[in-house]
Amino acid sequence: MTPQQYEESLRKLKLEVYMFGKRVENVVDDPIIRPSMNAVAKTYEMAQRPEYEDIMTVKSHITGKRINRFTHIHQNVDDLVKKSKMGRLMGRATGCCFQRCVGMDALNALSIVTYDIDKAKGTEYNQRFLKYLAFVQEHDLVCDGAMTDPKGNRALAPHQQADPDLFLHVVEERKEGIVVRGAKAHQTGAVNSHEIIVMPTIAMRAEDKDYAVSFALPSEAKGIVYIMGRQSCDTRKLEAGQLDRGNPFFGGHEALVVFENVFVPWERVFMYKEYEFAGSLVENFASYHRQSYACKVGVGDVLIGASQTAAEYNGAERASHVKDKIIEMNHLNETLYCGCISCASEGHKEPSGTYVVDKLLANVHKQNVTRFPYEIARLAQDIAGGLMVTMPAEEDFKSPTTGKWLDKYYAGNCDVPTLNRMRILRLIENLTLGTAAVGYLTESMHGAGSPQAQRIMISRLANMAEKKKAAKKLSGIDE
Amino acid sequence: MSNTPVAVIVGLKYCGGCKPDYDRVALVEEIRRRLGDEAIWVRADDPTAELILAVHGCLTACADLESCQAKPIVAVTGPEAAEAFVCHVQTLKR
Repeated sequence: MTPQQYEESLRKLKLEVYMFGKRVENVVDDPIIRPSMNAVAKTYEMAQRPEYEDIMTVKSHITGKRINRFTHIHQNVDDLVKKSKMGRLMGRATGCCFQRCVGMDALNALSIVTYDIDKAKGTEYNQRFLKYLAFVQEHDLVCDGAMTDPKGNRALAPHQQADPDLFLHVVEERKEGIVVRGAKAHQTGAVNSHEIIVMPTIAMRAEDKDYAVSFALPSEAKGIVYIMGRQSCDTRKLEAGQLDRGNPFFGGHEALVVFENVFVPWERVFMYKEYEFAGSLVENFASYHRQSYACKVGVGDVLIGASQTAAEYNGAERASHVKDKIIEMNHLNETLYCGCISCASEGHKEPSGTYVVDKLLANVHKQNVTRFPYEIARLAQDIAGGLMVTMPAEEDFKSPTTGKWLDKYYAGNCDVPTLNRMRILRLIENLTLGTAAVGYLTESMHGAGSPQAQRIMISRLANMAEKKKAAKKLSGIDE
Repeated sequence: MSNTPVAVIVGLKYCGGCKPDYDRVALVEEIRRRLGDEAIWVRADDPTAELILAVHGCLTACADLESCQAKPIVAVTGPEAAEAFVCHVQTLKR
């Protein structure tokens, strides 16, 4: 699919989207949402270009056709490594969340777990899933991977909640399918998606079996409602000028997705009350998605480039402390890259044939992602200087009254137009406390699971017995 | 019979460009400009290709060349290799 075809496909969707208390009638052209659509469209554009096709496209293992990697099931370690590289590439190309990895991760996790359920229970989920996968690949669709329930009281299991809808659950079983109710929160790229793939959000016990459900639906299915989340500085996109947006081309979005008694046909159901597999689906999805934070390395490339440029525009690039801060930013960013490459390189084959990342290393990588972008952002703000948050609006620079003073007093390196100095500072502002900070900072903290979720996994997966054995052997302890 | 040398058909293959050390597309444009009508450019998987130019963005050199193994492959990993490739094609023409 070309970017143009993608945009046209979205125009045909009849989504029920709300923002600022009103229904959004034209989602594609809405100025708040549009940059996020541009970011997804970039995944289609890059796949069409020969200089990126080795990363952005791959041969489908089910049809043999060349497909967009975002719809692929990883068939070997090289696929996993290229997925990490694709994240960095796309992050650098857009400077934001491009929203398509979550669907890829949901597809891969389901390819593993549907197979495992079938082996244990004699069900036919994997055949259903493969049929669905062929449909997604054939039409090059964007899938929203929807895992996070609102969760209500965190101390209570799904079935114990005062409101049963705080975790998405089955409310009716029919001959043709099931009816579900609930919601999924923080859904990245939801209104730019053709499909929604729903998964349970936590491991479950028998009492929660009505909540152990996974399925896929068209994003425009009857009963699905989208309520857009706000982002810091979002209404700058409603202003006439471009400069104050920081990144005038691309952005991300999140939405609360409400499922109000939504019908799901059986052929789209991939888990139905097999509660004992909910944890495995969560763990596999989370591991893939923690790897997906390779994208932050690409966004980090942009922020480091912006910081170096700002230093040069300020005439401060030769100061030793500035050089050292740039070194530190690169050190942190490349350390993140080490994590996403290593968890891919150490991946293995599951019984379904799908390759999955090394889960310990994926969790270590994501744990680093919860920290390092914050330090990189702090250093970027340090280098940028306070003007980043005190500079006047673009209109003041263009004003015949004030423009001449701003051009005079906000000049830095005399070889650089003052407006270019403002542009690079606005980009740093965008990435560290504007709309893109949602993706680069807070999403780095909580996306794919909050820091404690990774620490629990690290605790579970670290082989402490082997470490103790090595220590005892070297210290002469013979037990 | 004309003595005009026949253009070399070059199959072009890029790596995926995840973290290139230089502008790969600009380098290829420069090579194309230098060779002019001495080379005809096709995709690497085009069966008419006589020679493959593999443009890697860094020393990892990870472009997938599986479908090109039957052809001579010239790999470049930086701008400094452009001159050598141009000379190589011109040598082939003679």
